[in-house]
Amino acid sequence: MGKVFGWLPGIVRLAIGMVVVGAMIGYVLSAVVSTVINDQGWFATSGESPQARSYMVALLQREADTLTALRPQQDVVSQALARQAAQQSRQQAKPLSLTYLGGASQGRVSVQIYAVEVRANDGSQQLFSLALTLVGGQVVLTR
Amino acid sequence: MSEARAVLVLALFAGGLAAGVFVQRVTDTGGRENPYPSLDRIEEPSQTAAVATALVSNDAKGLARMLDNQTLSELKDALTAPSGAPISDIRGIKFVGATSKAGRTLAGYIVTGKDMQGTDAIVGFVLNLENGQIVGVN
Repeated sequence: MGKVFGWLPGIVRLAIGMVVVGAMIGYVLSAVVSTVINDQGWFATSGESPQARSYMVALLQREADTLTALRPQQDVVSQALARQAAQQSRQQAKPLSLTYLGGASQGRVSVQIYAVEVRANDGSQQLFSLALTLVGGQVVLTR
Repeated sequence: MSEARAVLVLALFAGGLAAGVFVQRVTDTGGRENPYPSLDRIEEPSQTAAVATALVSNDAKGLARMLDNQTLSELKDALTAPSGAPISDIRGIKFVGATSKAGRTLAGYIVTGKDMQGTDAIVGFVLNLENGQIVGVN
């Protein structure tokens, strides 16, 4: 590195180095703080949780791996059952809309409610709701 | 000269720090985008508002009048904390949003309180309306 930037005056190298190091630390610090605040439920808000939205999109697109990653660690049989359920629902309905109704948090627990509209194989459209309960950013209950 | 240099170095570091935080906040999309369209939100239906009021005021008589047996059973299940214990002491109920399509309306609520074990609990439930009648609870 010293050879690459060796042609620059020392003060300029120092200035660039300070800005780059500061920016990297600021970026990482901001990401860590926002993740911790979100997971721990500090400054609880009623806004949509990014994890809940990711879970809902993965659910509608039948992405078993993403769903597994957003749930607490499960045993292998439960994971296999979830994969089977995702494969079966693939042929059953086509998602038409996904609407976030709202949510609230209490400590690390957050409840997020969605409305889902699907078209079934017989052509009928159905509107139903899903309430997700998240603890520390992981979906522990779907109702 | 060395003091001015130290101040400059610190100022550059602080500037870089601020720029890093700014870039992170701007580039953080807050998770995955919703690729599906969303339905329009509507005002809280009066029928579901009445149920919420009865719940928070512990009005069993009112609930029995407003909801049929099946719906009451569903509501009982919905008011069960993730721990499996029913919420016995409702401290607050908050309407979070509602939407409607083709005569069917969904109204979402969040309940906070204490479960049977005395632990703080939060649960969500959705009242389903068809043609102005509450037909189910999720």
